[in-house]
Amino acid sequence: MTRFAMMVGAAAAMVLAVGAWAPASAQSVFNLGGLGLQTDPMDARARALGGVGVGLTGWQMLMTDPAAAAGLRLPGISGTFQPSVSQVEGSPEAGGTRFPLVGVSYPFGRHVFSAQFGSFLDQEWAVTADRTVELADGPVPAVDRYQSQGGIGQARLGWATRIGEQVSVGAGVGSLVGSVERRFTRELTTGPVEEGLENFRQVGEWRVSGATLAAGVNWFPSDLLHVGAAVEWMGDMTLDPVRGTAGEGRSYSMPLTLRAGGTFTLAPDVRLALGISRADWSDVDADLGGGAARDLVWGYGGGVEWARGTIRGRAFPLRAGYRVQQLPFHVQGESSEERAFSGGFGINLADAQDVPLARLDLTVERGSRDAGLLTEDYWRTTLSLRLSGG
Amino acid sequence: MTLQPRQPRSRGRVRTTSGPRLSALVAALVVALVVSGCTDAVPTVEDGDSIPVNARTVEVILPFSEFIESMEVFAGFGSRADVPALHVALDYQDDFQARSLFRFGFLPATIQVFPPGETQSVGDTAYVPIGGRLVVSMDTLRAVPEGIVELEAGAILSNWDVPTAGWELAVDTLGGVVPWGEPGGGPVRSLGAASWNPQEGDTVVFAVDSVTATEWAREVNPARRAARISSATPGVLMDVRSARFVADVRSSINPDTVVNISANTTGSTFIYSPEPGVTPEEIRIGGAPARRAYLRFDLPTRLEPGSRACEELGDLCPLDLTPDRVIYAGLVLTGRPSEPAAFTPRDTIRLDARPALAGDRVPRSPLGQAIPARPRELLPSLLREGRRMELPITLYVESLLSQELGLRDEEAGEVPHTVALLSPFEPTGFTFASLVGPGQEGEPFLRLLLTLSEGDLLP
Repeated sequence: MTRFAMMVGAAAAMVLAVGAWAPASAQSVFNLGGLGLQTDPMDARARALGGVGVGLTGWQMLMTDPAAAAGLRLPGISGTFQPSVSQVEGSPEAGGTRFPLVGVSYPFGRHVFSAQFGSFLDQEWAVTADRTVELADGPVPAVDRYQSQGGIGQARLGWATRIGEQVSVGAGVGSLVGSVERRFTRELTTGPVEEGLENFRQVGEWRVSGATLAAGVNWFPSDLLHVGAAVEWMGDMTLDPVRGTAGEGRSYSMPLTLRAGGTFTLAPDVRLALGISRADWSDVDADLGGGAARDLVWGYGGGVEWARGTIRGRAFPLRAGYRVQQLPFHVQGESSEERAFSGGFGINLADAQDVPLARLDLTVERGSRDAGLLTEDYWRTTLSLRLSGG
Repeated sequence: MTLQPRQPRSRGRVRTTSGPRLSALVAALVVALVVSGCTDAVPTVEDGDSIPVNARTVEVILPFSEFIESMEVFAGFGSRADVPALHVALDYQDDFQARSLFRFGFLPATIQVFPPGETQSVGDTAYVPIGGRLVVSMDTLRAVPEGIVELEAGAILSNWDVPTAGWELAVDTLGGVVPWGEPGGGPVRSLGAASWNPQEGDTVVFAVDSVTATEWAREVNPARRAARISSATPGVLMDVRSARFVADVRSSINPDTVVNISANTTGSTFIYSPEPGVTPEEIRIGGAPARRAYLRFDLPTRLEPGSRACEELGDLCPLDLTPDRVIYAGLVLTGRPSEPAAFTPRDTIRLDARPALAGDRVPRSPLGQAIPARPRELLPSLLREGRRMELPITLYVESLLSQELGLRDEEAGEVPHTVALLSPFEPTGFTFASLVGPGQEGEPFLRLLLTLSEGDLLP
């Protein structure tokens, strides 16, 4: 068996092993905090390197780093698929699948234009409670269920260009998109009647909108250092009722997010990536009545990429990382945080001379989310496929 | 890092790493991920404090007068002749009388006989009836007497109408009412009596004299080719399954030859006495002809202080009745023994509720689809013992409230205010279900289960 086959086999075995007891999901009980679980629109490589998706080497479409697309030489398309499974001790597993980042890019002269769709807040969750209803014939058991469905993402049109040999800049304008459905049901056992009993339902659905702006810069002072920074502004996120939903819409202030990161070449083919992010959610906390969200949310992490691995002359980088991300919304009244170890690899499936035409990156994360006494462990797999793009 | 602003499309050869084996491995890996990622399980936490909606479920009892504008009970749906079983009884449960009436078809017009000395048979249309038998089959499954009983038969001498004949009237059509000469299907020419021992068989045979046999053979009027079966044993109810006239006829070609030929029943019914009518104080369902009760709903959309239903809600009074709050609506009815007692069902009677599509044309209004998912089965014991039963009408009440509050789509059509309570497949038997009517102790009421919620769905 060749070295390549052994490596791919090992990687495949790892993924399949994860898949066996992580049957794909991206959902968490932490979704129920505030407006949902924040999910950054990052690809598998950014996940593997543990950072915040800014200042990574190479050219790519990342919503967290608008300037990173400036060097793409060919029209391209990329997509990220992210199944995961999570479990709170003593509770059943939860799971689902997300597509956190999908985009197309088109270079034109020195400029690169892109259209991207990414994740933002995950809204899939449910809460149940056993109740007792007092009727004339006596107490009757009932189950209340409060469920949220849908999700909030962001669509963005981006532009990026290089300025000289050492600087690239990028900007984007977009909108929050998606919908939120909240449903409350009360189900009584059929004890009090023989038939004809219906569940009580209260349903509301809202369409999400809100403007977003993003800008970023990358600087390559030397072959050994690559740094980048990005700022993302979001206007108020507005939820407008649809389909006969009673009441008026709501607006929530969204944060200004700053991200900075860099990649340092420690040795030939060994790179260290670090990143940090800061978001100010204090206004949304006020919108939620206070005590529901952090004022400042920090995230940081880093990872190492060993790029020396090759398969028949092609790059087969291996990556490992660790990240800490504070979560903006409190869960059960407690501030929450996410920590994860990550590992993964990349592989060029097809090249044209020195231009990769098809590249696949895969990352597996093992992490946990904590809020007071509540702890949830999760496995998350991120698979990114990029076609063309250069 | 050096890059060209824009590179022309590469014309170089595209190489795939490791060839087909790598592609297959990667494809398998991707497929495994996709397949494994296609299951969704919503993360669920048991935590009542995280539910922002505060719900309260209450029970509301609406007295009859607070949701029904009027009630009418009608009889006359279907015919006794449509009932699967015919009955005979004499003084059953004190005063119930029942007799069965049968019409027979024509005897065969021709019989085949051998003329004297001939070996080839020929048709004989001039045969002469010399007597016969009336063969009656009794039901031995449902109503079986404990001992030997006496039955009587007679040839009906009056014109009578199968679908409309009753105890008093031989014909009861619009503009053509004809009473019997004697109430109860008379007068008849007696064919005598016969004993029936249910332990020995299910057939009772009455001898038919030559006069009657000739009359039944020659009579053109079908109403006169008819027999009445009645009971001579008091206190017993019996079911008659069928009857057949078997004639002994002598050949006109070969007088030594007597042939048996028969005529089957072409129509049958049973008549009974007394015939309970209807009363506005009682809900009567079923019977033959069947009875129905029509309830005209006038649902309140708000429970106001002062009403008993509202006062029992305490701090929730006054309360708006809206369709989204209704999780159950049941029409509660109380059974009672029928009067006379012979009419109390001995078997299950089914109760259904259907909207009257043209409320102003009751009782001739066509009926819509059944409101409960399936008819309610009323056990005889429920009626005998005066127990309560509940007819679920949740969807109907929700629709009616939606209409009253202007929440219903016009395209969905109008919800009728009048609902008929009936026994499906009218008629199934002469017995009927009696339910306590308005103004009586145990009158119908509407039982509502409502869930009220407070709080916003959004944080």
